Amino acid sequence: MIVLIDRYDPDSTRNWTDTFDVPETEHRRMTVMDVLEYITLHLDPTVAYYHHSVCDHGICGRCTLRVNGKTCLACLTVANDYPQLHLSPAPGRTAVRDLVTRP
Amino acid sequence: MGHQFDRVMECDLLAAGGSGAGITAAIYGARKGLNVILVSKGKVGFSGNAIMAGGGFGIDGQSGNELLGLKDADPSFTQEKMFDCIVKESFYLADQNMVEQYVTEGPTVVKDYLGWAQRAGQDFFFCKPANWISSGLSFTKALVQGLKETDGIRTVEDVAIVEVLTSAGETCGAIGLDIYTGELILFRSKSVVLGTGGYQPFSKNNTVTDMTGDGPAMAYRAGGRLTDMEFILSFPTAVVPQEMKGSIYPYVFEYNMRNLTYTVRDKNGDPLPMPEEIIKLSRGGKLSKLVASYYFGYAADAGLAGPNGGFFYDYSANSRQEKEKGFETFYSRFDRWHRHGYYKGESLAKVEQMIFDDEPLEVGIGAEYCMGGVEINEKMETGVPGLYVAGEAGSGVFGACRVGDGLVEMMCQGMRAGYSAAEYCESRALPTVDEKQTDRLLDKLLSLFKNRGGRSPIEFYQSIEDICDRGFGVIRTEEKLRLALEEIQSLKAEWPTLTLSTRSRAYNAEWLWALQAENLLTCCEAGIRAALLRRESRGCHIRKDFPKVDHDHYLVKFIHQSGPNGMETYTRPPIQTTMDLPGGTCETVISYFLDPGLNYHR
Repeated sequence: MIVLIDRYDPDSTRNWTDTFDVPETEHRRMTVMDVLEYITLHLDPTVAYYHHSVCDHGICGRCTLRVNGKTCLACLTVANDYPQLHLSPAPGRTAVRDLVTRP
Repeated sequence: MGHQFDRVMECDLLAAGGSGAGITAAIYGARKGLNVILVSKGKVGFSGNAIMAGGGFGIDGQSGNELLGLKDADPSFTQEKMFDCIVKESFYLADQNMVEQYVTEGPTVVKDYLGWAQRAGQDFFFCKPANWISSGLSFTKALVQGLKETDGIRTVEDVAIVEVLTSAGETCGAIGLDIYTGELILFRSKSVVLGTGGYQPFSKNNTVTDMTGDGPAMAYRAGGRLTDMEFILSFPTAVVPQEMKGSIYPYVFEYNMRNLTYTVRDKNGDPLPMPEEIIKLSRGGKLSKLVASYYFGYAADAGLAGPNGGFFYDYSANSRQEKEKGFETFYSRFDRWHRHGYYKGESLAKVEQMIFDDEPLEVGIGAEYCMGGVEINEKMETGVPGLYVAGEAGSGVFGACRVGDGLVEMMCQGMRAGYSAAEYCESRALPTVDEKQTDRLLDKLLSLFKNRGGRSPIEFYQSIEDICDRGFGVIRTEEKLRLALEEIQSLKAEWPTLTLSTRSRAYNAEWLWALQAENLLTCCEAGIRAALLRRESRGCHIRKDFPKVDHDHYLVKFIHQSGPNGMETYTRPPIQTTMDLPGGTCETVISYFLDPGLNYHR
């Protein structure tokens, strides 16, 4: 599966989009959170997503981001339901790094 | 050298942890007049493991009757009975002074807590003797209400406490890392309560992502001691649908749909060899966590697990009407917290369909809670003046196995820690900070940015989980534990070389994960060392090569402290107050409960 991620570096204030190939979705059903874990583990450890102090089951609501333009929770959104993913930060919040935002 | 803190904050009590233990320590400390800062790694009330809770909390029925004025409580379940149950469930390893504190002070804090819950509009489901079924988030919303009602507490969120500071052997504050900005904060305080939760080092779990052992490891580095680290509680946890892995719906179904019977089968369709009498004693209650771990663990060890590492729940003995009734009961309780058809944020549609279609439902085992932690006494003192620990980060109440409530543990210990800190802070000036220590620690924290060519902390952290999955899991052997300890020690040696590809500090997950990995490694080393030395089975420590519970030789706690040459481990017997400790042996951790001589009735 092709995954596009909108990146943001707070030091240089540079924005760009990276593309990753995640073959793992052929083997199991994965949430967007699982896909992000796969990417930081195997492809690029610098991709920032909301990862600390999260519940992974739709309770804490902290992993909010946009998947193909739609705002949703990374932990509840099943990647396999989409032909391709374009992940971008949640709208209306202050950018911190990549997909991480704060109120 | 020469690094500076970005901010300095001062208080009497620094309470670390955004869930039950940290919040109650802050509230009761502030009630005694302390100037308190509450620091949470996440958002207060939305972080910590309490939000994952699926069971609830309870006290003895007599206190429910007399102290809380509950007409429906069952007074025949007295404090004495609760004490008796907890000590026996702990395989006699509980420190009985800690159990007494839990049993006697639990009702006081629960009374306050229910007031917060009521004023926060939270509705729990009451059942006898005096238990409340609650959703995790509903539970923490009530805690946040208690916080709102208390003056004198400043809250700092998304800051991880990364080191406890001491000066001349006494607590003088802590270092915090602001996760969003990467700023390092010097907290100067007279006292610190660590309510930061336990550790769980396995890839299969049902916890939040913060069970990294920060509190135990920081207390250990500050001069505290760890104990009971070999005992980690697990229970039936979702592996299917794969996108729901880690959900606790299997356990919540068992607990709430007690009219349904089911057989657990292996990959060949054969039932797991669970004797009917242990099913009768445990199913639908919290003892079933240990029972499931034991039988799932042995079957997995024999290569009988399904494709997702689980076993298959067969509900086909129930009629459609019975199944409908089961779900009706479940939803009548849980619809007050979740959308109908959902558990927490996840749809149960697929699972429901599988149960109605008699399709075997694969269920695995996930780690939930660590009985071990920092060695504390009934005042939550650690032996380091001014440093207190409460909740899962501590140890003592539940010994080798918890059947009682972690939620009550965190609140009654948090309350006591707040009171103890208040007593300690009285007539004490703000201690000075040891600048040599802070220089050294800042240098350690920031030197990771200078490294080149080492592994990423994200990958490193996962390799700790891999090692523990292989060698420190539910069913243990000398050979696997020995290898796991060697591997953990080699990761410890590798830790200073970890390399951050993210070069700046703002939301640098690699940096945070490196610091968490150091903490997790300390906890794992203690746990595996004890698991190797404990050549018997007891509670959640199950040795295939030593299946017997051996009271004659191992009714002791393994205590770990930092020495000049690394971790030092010694033993002591559990603290005894009113209940005698047994001798002799039992064939297995299951036959321990089936022995009529135990006289166990919860």
